[in-house]
Amino acid sequence: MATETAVVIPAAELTRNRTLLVGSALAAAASVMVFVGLFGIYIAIRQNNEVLSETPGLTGELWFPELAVQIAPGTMMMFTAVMSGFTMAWAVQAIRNDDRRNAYLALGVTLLLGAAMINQAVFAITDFGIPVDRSTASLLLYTLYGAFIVFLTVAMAFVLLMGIRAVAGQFNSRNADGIEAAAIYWYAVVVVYPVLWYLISITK
Amino acid sequence: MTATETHADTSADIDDDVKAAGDGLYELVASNDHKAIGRLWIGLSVFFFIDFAILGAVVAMERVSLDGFSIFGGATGYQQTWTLVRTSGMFLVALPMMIGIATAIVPLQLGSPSIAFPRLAAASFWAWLVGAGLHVASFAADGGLGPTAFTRTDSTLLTLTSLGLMVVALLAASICIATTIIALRPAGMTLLRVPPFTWSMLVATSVWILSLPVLLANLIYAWADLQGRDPIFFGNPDRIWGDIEWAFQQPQIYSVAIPILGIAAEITPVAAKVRAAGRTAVLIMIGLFGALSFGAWAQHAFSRGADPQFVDGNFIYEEPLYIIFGIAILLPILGIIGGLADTVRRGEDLPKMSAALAGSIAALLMLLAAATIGGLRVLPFTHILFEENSDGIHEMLSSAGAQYLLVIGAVVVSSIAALVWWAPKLFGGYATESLASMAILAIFGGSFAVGMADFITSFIGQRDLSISSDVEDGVEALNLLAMLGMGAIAMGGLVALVALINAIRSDEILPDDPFDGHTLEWASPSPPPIGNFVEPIDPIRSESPLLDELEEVS
Repeated sequence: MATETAVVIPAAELTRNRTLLVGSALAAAASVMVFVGLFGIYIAIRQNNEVLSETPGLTGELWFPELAVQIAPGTMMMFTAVMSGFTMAWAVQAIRNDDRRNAYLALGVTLLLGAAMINQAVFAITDFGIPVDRSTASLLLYTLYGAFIVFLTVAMAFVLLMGIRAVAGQFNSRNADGIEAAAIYWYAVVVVYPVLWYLISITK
Repeated sequence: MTATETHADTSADIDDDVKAAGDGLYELVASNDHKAIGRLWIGLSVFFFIDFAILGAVVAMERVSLDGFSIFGGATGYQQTWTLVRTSGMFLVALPMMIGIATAIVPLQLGSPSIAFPRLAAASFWAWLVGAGLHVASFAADGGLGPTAFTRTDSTLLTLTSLGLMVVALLAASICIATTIIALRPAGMTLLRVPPFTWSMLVATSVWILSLPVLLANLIYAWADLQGRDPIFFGNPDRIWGDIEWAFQQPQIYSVAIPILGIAAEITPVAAKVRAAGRTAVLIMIGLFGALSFGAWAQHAFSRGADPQFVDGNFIYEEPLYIIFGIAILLPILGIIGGLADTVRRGEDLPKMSAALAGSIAALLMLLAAATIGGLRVLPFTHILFEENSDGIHEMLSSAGAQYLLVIGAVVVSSIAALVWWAPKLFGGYATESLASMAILAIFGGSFAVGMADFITSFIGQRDLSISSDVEDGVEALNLLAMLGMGAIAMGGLVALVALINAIRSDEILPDDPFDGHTLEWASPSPPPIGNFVEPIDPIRSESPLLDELEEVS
């Protein structure tokens, strides 16, 4: 005779709307588009300057004077940005695994690297051998770095806020939305930097 | 609920966290109920619309006599007011009006108890209001954006700052709306099943989120260039307006008109009492229209422009992509008009011509007229014609005329149609039909008169930004027509305001679904309570859940 056994069906998991992830992705897209605009205008004006220089009867300005932009500070900042991307991913993975200690550590290191990037950006700005009011090129240079510092500060504030909420016990393996949302915004800001680095430090 | 809420939104959460808009001023100001926030956006944009029309009438009045500046006393005051009219038409009237309607209606259409990030939605309204106030104040303090429009650098900085603040606030509001559409749909409501207005807002907010930040980039450069010294490049008086003008010209200006298509596609099938024909095709056309209205690339910075120092590449009017966009935008408009005509044809009787239906159709036709003129503007053949009458600077047809047709004739008329249509949900009463019809007629006729007068005068030599007696005969008469048109627009705004106030003051008990609507907003009480719905929403099985019920009953 067959034995009847009660089959216990686990309760359906409450679906989450993931509003924070979607909202953060949209905010990140908007922030990236600000830099798309800033970079696009920079490239267009620089290109025009090169054409001017080659056009008889017209003169383009010297874009950056020799040695005005050193490669080292920007490159150090580039490495810091890449490292912060990895530490942010570390935080996301840690919170997904309910490894809170590592999550807090990773968020702290990410914030530290963010502060280091601001420090490096300020150093780079003070190290530029070109005054802001010298030319269009110098204006573009300082504006790009200034805008990046502002957006990086916003990203740090977002990570800090989510970090505080994580410390208060909000996020775990079933709901890591807050940390993931902060990570999305962080990656967006960090992804912007290599373009800035290439435009300013490499191509000069 | 906070802007960083992470758990599921349930009705209980909403009841706890969303504060209602009560009768008192404090309750209204402190509310983060999406309907109250929407009403605030709508109310203030109607207020600014009436101001805009009066200012526009004064600008047009100055042009009735071209012998000199009799009202503003000089080119500076004239250009300041002219640029204020241009910026306010977009950032104080059209965009906030559409965002207000969407903030109030989109969650209802989705069966959602609230908008995503309600506190951010409220904060975006207040930030926009501060920005709008500072914007007007900056012009009053001798600021502005035109070639001779500013004499005080600090005031111009305030103009740029306020514009930037409004852009950020509008972006935040757009993010709230788009997130609601993407993340707060009920079970069964796929993206292709969302109502047409909600779909159009998803397309519109996507375009705004991708394009307005580029405007912010323009503003950042100009702002940085004006910090405590003489401008080098971007902050030059004759550059600032040119650098940001793309946001007020085609193709970007069409982006503010995207919701018009959704409103017309929303109202027409209900008025015709029939299921929408070719609905998916209409949604695709709205998406195509949105893609063709992305205009951040079409700016002077990326082309040769009017600056003689810019020698690289073509003028923007010569760019093949610009020409293709300018002509191709007609296709989705014609496609949607065809789809809606087919819907009406399938109905048993011709629909009753209510103010809402008339307004939505009028707006669609005005959009078609504006896009047709926009197409003429970019065609190489007409381009040559206009070049002969300009100073060779390739500023042919009036961009202000295009803005009047699109922003006022299409967007504002469509907004009034939407406000009348959704008045039971927005205000808890019916808008006065006769007054709304009069308002739509006045604004439609007025904007047509202003827009066409501006186009014709620009064709015969009058430039947007200046007053010169060196133009052909007949310009002054057309400028008089433009002034009368602006007067009609202002009157229409006042009449529309009265019609809507009547809806607010009405104490009539309304049914949930007075028009036999097809979509979920009509399943909520009129006006909807906090949390919007008194019963849980069943899983959605089609794009017209209420029409399904109606057909099952009959």
